Amino acid sequence: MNKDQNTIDKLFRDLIRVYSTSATSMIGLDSMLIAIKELVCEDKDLENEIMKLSNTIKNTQPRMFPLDNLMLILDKKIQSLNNNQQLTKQSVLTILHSLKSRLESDLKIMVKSGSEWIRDGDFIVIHSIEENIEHLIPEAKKRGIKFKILVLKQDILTTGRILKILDENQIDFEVIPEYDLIHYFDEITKLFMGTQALTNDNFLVCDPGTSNIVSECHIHKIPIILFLKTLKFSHYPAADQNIRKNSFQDEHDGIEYTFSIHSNDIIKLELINHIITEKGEITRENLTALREQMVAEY
Amino acid sequence: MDGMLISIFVFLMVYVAITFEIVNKAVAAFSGVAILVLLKVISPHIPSSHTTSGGHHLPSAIMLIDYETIMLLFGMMIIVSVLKESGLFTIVAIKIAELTRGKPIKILVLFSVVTAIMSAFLDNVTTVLIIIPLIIELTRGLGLNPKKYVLSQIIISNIGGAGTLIGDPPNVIIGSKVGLTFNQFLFNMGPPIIVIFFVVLLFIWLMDKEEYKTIDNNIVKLFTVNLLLEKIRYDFGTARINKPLIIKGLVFLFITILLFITQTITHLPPGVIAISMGIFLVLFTKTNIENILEEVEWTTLMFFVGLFILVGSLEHYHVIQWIADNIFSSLGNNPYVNVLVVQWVSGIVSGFLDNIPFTITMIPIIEIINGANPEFQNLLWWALALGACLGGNITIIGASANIVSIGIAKKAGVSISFIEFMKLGAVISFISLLIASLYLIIRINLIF
Repeated sequence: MNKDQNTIDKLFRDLIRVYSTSATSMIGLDSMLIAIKELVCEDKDLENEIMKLSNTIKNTQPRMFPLDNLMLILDKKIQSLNNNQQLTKQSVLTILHSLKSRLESDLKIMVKSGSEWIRDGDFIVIHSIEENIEHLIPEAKKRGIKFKILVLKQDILTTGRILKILDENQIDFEVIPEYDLIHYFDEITKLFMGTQALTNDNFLVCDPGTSNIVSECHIHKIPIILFLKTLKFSHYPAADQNIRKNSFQDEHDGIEYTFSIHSNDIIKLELINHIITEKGEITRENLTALREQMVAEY
Repeated sequence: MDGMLISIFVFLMVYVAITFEIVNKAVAAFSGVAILVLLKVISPHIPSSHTTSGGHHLPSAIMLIDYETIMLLFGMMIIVSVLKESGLFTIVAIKIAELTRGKPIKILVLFSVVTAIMSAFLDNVTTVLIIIPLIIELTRGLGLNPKKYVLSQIIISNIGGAGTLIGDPPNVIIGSKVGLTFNQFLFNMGPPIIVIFFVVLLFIWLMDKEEYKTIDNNIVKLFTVNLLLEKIRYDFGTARINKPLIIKGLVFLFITILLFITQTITHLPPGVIAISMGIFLVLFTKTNIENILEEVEWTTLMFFVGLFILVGSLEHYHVIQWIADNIFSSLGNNPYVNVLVVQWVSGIVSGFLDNIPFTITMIPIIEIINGANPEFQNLLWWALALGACLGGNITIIGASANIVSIGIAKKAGVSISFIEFMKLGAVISFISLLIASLYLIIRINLIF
């Protein structure tokens, strides 16, 4: 793998620790806009350059949704512009702006419909940074709903960012270690989760640690609510999501061993009780049709 | 044993311990003081009733300390601590990173300007503590070689610090002990330092023109820059930013500098200005003094106190007078020889030994030479200051900022060896000292 690909992979992995995948995708689109404006190249080389960047983004470890799908849409539009000999920097910038608007409006609609899933008296479990934390929970608070959040502590960076958002929005919360959740099943009412992608074989790609929590909540019959934009429907299977395995040598008390960690968890969709998209709640049954409709666009 | 011999022996032992980092600098200096007190070479009390068996007064350790220098350092450390707590430095560093837009030449120039200014008005160690991690993150993320940028900032920090009274410990010591004002430093040290800054920057660029070439034809690299800036904004921007504290801190820093500049009118010593402004800043901002005092570099202050006592003892027992009479008197009264020897000796010695004890030792020697040659005016002080500050770039151990920066870089996975540092540092020191010599020669020609 080349050096540039490695650098971008690492940057994306770092960013999704503190921003939702949608926010990271927005940062990606903004970065593309600036990069294209600053790029010095002739119009005839423009397609090549953009495809180079688009391919790099589509090959990240893990795959970055919804940006991955937005790149597929971009590729298609670029191809069409090129065929009509209308490909200029300006036309690419216009496409990127329209992709940004789409991402924003999808998010707005999902936040609006999603915040209705929070009701007075709710005690909601959250784990990692996703749209539900960045936008949906603050939105419910603004609407005057009285609820409490149970934050499952991860690393200081991710949990720190969650606490900052909750504190800024004056949302009541309690923080516990992930393994302490067992003591709260009498009190908690819901688990809110986001995902980085929904694979075409119906697996969710989530932050590390999410799988345990979902399994535990499923066993204890706690409703699990997934917030998912349709732009996160991946056309790849779970095995092809470029989930990164990091291994390094460690040592304890003179014992040397290989320590391995994966960048993401994989969770079966069937464990989820409610799937909320910008198109409203969808059932597993009508998911296939919706996916086909979405994938056709790419 | 004779007080003179014990003083020399203890001083040399302490110097060896400091140079080879056998123990902490402050511990070494205070151990030396303890030995002198225990062997009754110096007294722990105020003089008058304490005498040696021969009936002579013992020098009082307390009276040998230069409180003016300690107050100036302590006061500036308080002001810097408050500004650091406000998040001001983080904001400045992130803004600079954004302004560079990932362009290598802009990274070199803008960071160098900020490093030089920060080093001139704050201390060099604080400056590199803020700049080095950021420049490593930025350059590594862009696929550039962080080593070159780290080296450039260390070198620039030592050059910038030489420009003002408060920029580098040797200047603080010279200014306080000799009674030179902030303006005298600014007007006498500022011009050569500005020239040296630009020449060195040009030299660094010429040495690696390819490295600093702008990348504007690689879309993937341009994309990476923007992602990277966002990451830096988050990583470094999560530090608490306290805007009211930034404003108050800047106002007090401005007043402090104003008082330094108007010293000839107010007749307030720099130490009094710094310590008063520092404590008023804490008072007006209601900053937690415990937190601020934790940030003060007590070991540095203790090191200074210990060294003042050790050198004071050498002075009391006429060792300094002996060095001046027997070594520097052979230079005669030729101003060119005296000034250039002081500058180059200071420069070379400071490259291999700690420049703080060296400066403290040299001050009484230069006072004696100056006493014999009043026509030299303050030229020998500028020669000492230029040599001691610029020589710090010769080796890794030449200045505290070098050691701190190399440590930060190593932690971040950027290893810089003694030889790698010296390859660039020694050449730049030679160029800097050469420019400083030209400046001093011009000044001598104007006087004589």
